[in-house]
Amino acid sequence: MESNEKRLFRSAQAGDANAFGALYAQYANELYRYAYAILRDRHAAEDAVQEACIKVYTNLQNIRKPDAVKAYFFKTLQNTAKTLLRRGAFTVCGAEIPENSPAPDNTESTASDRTDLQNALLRLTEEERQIVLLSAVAGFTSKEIAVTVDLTAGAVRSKLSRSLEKLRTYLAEKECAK
Amino acid sequence: MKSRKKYAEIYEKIQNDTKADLPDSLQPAAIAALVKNTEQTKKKHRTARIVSVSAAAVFVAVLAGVAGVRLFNHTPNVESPKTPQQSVSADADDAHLRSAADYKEIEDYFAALQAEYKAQNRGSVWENAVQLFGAQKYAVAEIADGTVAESFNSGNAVETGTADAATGTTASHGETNTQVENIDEADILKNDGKYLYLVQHADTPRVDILDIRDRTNITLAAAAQLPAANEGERISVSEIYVRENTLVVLAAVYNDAENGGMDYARGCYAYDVQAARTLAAIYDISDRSAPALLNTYAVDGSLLSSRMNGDALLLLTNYNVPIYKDETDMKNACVPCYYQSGEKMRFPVNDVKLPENAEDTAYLTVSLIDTQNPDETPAVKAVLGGGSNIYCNGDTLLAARTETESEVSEVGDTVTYSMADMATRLYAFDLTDGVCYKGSAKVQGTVLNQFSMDAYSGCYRIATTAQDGSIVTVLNRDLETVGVLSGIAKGENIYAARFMGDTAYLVTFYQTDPLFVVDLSNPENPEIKGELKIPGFSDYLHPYGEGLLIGVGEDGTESGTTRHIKISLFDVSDKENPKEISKLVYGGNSGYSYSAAQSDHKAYLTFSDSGEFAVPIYEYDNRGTTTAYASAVTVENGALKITNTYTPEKTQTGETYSAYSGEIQRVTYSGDTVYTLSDTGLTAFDRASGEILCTYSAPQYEEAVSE
Repeated sequence: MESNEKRLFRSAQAGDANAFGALYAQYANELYRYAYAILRDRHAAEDAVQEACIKVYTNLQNIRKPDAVKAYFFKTLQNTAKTLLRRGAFTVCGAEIPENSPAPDNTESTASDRTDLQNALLRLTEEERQIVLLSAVAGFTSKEIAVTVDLTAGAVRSKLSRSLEKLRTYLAEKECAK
Repeated sequence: MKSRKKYAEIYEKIQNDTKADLPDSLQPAAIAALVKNTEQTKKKHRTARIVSVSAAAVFVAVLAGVAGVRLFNHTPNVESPKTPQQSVSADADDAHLRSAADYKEIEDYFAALQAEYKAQNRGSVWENAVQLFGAQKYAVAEIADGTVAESFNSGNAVETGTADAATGTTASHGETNTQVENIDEADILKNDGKYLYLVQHADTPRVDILDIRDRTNITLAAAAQLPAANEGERISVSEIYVRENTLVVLAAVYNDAENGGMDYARGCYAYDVQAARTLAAIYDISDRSAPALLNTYAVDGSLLSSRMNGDALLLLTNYNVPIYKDETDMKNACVPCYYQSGEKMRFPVNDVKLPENAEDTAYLTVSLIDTQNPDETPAVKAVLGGGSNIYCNGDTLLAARTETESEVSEVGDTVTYSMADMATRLYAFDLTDGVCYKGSAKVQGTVLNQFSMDAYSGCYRIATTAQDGSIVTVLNRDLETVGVLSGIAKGENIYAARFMGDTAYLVTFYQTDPLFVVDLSNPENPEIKGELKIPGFSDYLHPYGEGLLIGVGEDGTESGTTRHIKISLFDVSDKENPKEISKLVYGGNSGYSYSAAQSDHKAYLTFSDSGEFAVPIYEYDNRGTTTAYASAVTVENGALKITNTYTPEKTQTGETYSAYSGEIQRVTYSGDTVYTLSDTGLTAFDRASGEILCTYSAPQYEEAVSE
């Protein structure tokens, strides 16, 4: 971590809200998009990010290494989003569909790639989806993901390739069908 | 990261799909304003301020040895620990791991942890979770003393002959590809030459026993049904063993009521589903048409791994103590239990091991069961803190656990570790007389999988990936490090490892694939003898005859990988000059291809009656055509040669969408017949011509087709 970021971190720890804002700014877009990828609702994603920021700021004292902040933000966000999902705060269900179940009956016309992709993501387990989104949306390396999901980097890599493969196969078949 | 390049299209799709402009409320300035008036909690001192004095003293006793800074700022008055009950197992108690003194010690540890979590207000998770957890279903029976299990003979060679008394055939047939010869590993498909045994995930969990003696007609001899689940629970078969006339089925028991269950309104599971227990069901299949359930053994936790050595079944689970339950329930659940003959028994207190700086809520449980005498008390061991990768060679069990040494930050239900300090704690157990803890060691870096560990000639060897490159550590029987080789290929990760006697082969990868030949003949001085740098990499290494190694992995160019599966033949007879003398790349010039064998060593098949081996292949070309087949390969005149291709029919369901990929998961054979297994079922082929003889469909697939 560059010394500038370290300074920001220390200041934020000391209660400097603007420094915290600057720290947050580094991943602001990724955080929001990650929350949106999970919740699929812009308002809910906003709420999730705000709530996560408050939590992170509140507990900044307990992070000793500045390097840990990014993983910390995303892990907190993940849990916040999960809680919002559980509370059923909104209508979109972001939970997984068991593998090998017949396709959901999509009565709306779904010619767009977007719905196919969402369906594809829903076919992954929650952990797989988290890993894929952290990589694709938040730009995490496998080591960073490992820290965030408490797996070894090797396990992350293999889960990631498997999940991407599942997605690709599913989407390829969807393409075929068109 | 290599996945990024390989899947650029998917990444782009996901990124386009989640494009969202940062709303005003989330602009940095707005966030700064939001947190401005929030009070930050001060640095925590983890004193056990909430709990009663005696519990606190015990808490301290359990955690003795931890560097003072993280937990306590002063030297507390410590009650002298209770005299441990007489240990009947010859466990080594070392500084790192020791037996619990009594159950109360364990209960108090968890009670204190729970109180702390409550005080930290792990918020909504706590509330929601507590509401859901119901009453215990069993009464807890405690064992008065640590009963010692019968010793199980180890080191007996497993008979591999397939002679059937009635018909006398001894045709060669496929067997599960295991890491250690004669130590069987569980799988979804087993083969004894006359019958195939197949795990089914249909609505009713069962194992199909398929008669393959008539190669043109696979018939269902019988289905071994799992015992009915208790109310609120469901059973899902994981994998199986077949040894002579015994079928062992490993299954997961999910407690949906506890897990929050299926939320039908939303069509999804409300919570992450974890197996409450792991079940081993033992059947007598002397009459293949009438499998008879002999006994069941269950143990808390979800299946981690297993092995079978002769008749002895080694079963490992990870058991997460439900720390969010109410106090009484948690107390009953804080020591792992096993279930036998209708009774729930706590693990003997001597067999529960606690590490020196315990903060964990999960155990690794080890059970050793004699499948021919399943009523006998099993030998068990539980280690708080657990492990996630194991190695077993019959006499020895190694369990590796990833540990993080650096500062821990905890808030609510999130915990963050700094990645730089990941290490592996290795636990060793002797299996020659029950399950005996031998000691532990800590090595830098993390392991990849079971092939990263090995025991040979009085030493343990382990390969790990660390920040500064990969490391091979050699330890003696007392788990002391005798030799280390570190800094291998800094900046790269281990992609494959294989220990073979005095040599270790390592594949690391970032852009190109160095294959390292590490000489371990002098345990005190492991050294790199030879190195081969080629594009692409191997995921799995398999010994092939003298001085030859097969690599299954991905092809590459100087700039990265090509997304096609490659089989390599390495000549390692001259350790200082390993060479890739032949290779096969599948899939042509477009699209991608891969093999299940890259990530699952059980997908690799050896034909023991010829020099052939086979792997499943899956190809996708850019025009959208997918092909799945099994490729049989041999080595002729120092070159790889495809001898046969077995392609199951592409099934037409009539629907534009198929839930089934057709991807082949397993290949096996019996005599002149080759079988492939995909998610749609089995196909039998004539081994020489590749012609399809017959098929057998998975039940759930049949249902889908008929709709």
